[in-house]
Amino acid sequence: MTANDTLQIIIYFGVLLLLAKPLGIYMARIYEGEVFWPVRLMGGIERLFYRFCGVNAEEEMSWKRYALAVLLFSAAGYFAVYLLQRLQGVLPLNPQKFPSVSPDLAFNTAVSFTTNTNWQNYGGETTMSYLTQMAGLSVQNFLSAATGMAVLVAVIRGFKRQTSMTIGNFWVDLTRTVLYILMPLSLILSVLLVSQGVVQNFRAYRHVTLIQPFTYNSPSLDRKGDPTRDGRGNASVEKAEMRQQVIPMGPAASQIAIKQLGTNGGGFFNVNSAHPFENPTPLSNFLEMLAILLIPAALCATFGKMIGDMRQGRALLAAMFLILVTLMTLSVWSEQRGNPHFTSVGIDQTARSTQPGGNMEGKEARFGIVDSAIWATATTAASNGSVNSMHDSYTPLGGLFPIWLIQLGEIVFGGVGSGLYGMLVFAIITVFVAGLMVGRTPEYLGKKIEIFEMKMAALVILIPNALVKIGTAIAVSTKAGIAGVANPGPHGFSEILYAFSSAGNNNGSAFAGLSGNTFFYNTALGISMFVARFWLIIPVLAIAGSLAKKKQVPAGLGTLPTHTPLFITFLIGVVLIVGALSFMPSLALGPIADYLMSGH
Amino acid sequence: MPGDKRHKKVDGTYLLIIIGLFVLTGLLVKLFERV
Repeated sequence: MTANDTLQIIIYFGVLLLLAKPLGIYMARIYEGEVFWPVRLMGGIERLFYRFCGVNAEEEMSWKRYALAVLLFSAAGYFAVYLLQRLQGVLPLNPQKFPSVSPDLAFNTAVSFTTNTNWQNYGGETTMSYLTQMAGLSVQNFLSAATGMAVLVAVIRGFKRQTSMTIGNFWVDLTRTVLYILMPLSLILSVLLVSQGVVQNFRAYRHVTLIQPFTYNSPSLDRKGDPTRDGRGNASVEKAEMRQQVIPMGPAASQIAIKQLGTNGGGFFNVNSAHPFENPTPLSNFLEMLAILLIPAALCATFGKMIGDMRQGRALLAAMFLILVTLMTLSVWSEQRGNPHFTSVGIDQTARSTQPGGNMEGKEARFGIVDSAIWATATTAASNGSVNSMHDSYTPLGGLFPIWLIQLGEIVFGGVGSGLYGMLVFAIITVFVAGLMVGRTPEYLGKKIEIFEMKMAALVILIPNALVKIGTAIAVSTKAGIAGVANPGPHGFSEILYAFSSAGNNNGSAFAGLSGNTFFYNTALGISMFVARFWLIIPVLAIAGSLAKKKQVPAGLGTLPTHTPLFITFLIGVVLIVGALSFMPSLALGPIADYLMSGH
Repeated sequence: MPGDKRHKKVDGTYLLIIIGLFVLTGLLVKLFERV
């Protein structure tokens, strides 16, 4: 670790925590229906929207109606994105004349964007028309994020209300999230990104003849388009010459702002935020990194404000913060330490004023190690999935921490809304474990935690676990699964494990070494993403419905306070122990084996 | 192309998969109601 590394981590979290509280309180006021300046400014649009859609804003929903509204709305989003992709060849705003997207890829992409995962088995600039990117993918960036936040607000109401059969109105929560929170923030960030050089236009791509043509190694493909291998099992390459460069254009800035703020992560361009038109400068990089964690961090304050005890929100934020800072620091340290094989052949990997040192493979020179590793850990903690470096090229330990952050269940900040409702489920499990220790009925925020809540909480933890392990097991046992792997051995296993961890927890980032655009991966990862999103939302809403019905119990001598350092320690322990017990064996076969074989 | 026979069949398969997934998820709501 260098002084620069430490300073940048401190500045990043300093600015993040500074902004989290005011934004969190603003969001709480929006969700509580308070009439203040943004509502006075845009309330007319909100009411017009309700009238147009036939929504009765005063009507409350039971958890079942709320869940069915989430499902119906998401189904409509899925079909819109699927059809836009399948018909883009005959639709306007397609200056590159891209053909329609194949059915398996359209399925994968539609599920991916509807579930706020944004796993991408396509390259944006080589596959999607401007219409698909804007009307399909960008719109889902807003709506899937707003769905997650709406579900969280319903859960908060579950804790707050007493003897109530309802948990709010999904359409109202969704509309308010988009209108008062996501759209204004996205507008501000888009303009800032354009000021830094992120493109925003509808022009056709530019073709430029290179002054100095060059040759490069291109992956060799067979007739089916699958990578071919040499006798040792490594991917074969062939020489190719580059004489002309195509410079892509498009309405990128508007999509990138919400991609970061909504913890979506799907890049406008194939290499995501490593592309100079998506993330041109250190300032754009900082703003995009900040946007990844901004709403998830602020929602902790929203939670505290809505339940009337800011200390509860701070405790959850502290648990998230401590886990992330530790794993982020370890990741930066591992990358800064570099590759021992390079040291053995006399390559200097020390950080100096003239070089960043460490492992710079797969990283942009304009960002260096610390900004790449901060991004890699923030994006995997937050269910964002955007990248500004290629995680496949990280050192084994540098790559282990991002995978593990995903496998913890996307609750360390996590996705907008989904991260905090996931962490609340862990809080419920923590008070249950603590309750067992002292022999009392567990309580959280004055609500007794009983069998039903525990059954639902167990499902929320077990479903992603099963998806990751079953998916990885099928992939490594079938030809179709192994065909997509670029590297043999533990690293190849890590590529598959990462893909199913990412899909099975709705993260969306890729390790980058896996050829995912195949019938097998499009289908398997698509189903994983769907189940990971909706099979968790249903039990979470069921918990909300059950809690809303209960009366609040006054705190007694046997009540475990849930805002103290002791509870934060308990919570971190439960999160890490569940994560470690669930995934350590699979991590041992991938990144840990890779580490032990890499000469450390 | 989306209109050809093979793609229509594949479109149909994915339509069935997604409808199946949404219906199954909807049934979870009913199931949890009774737990």
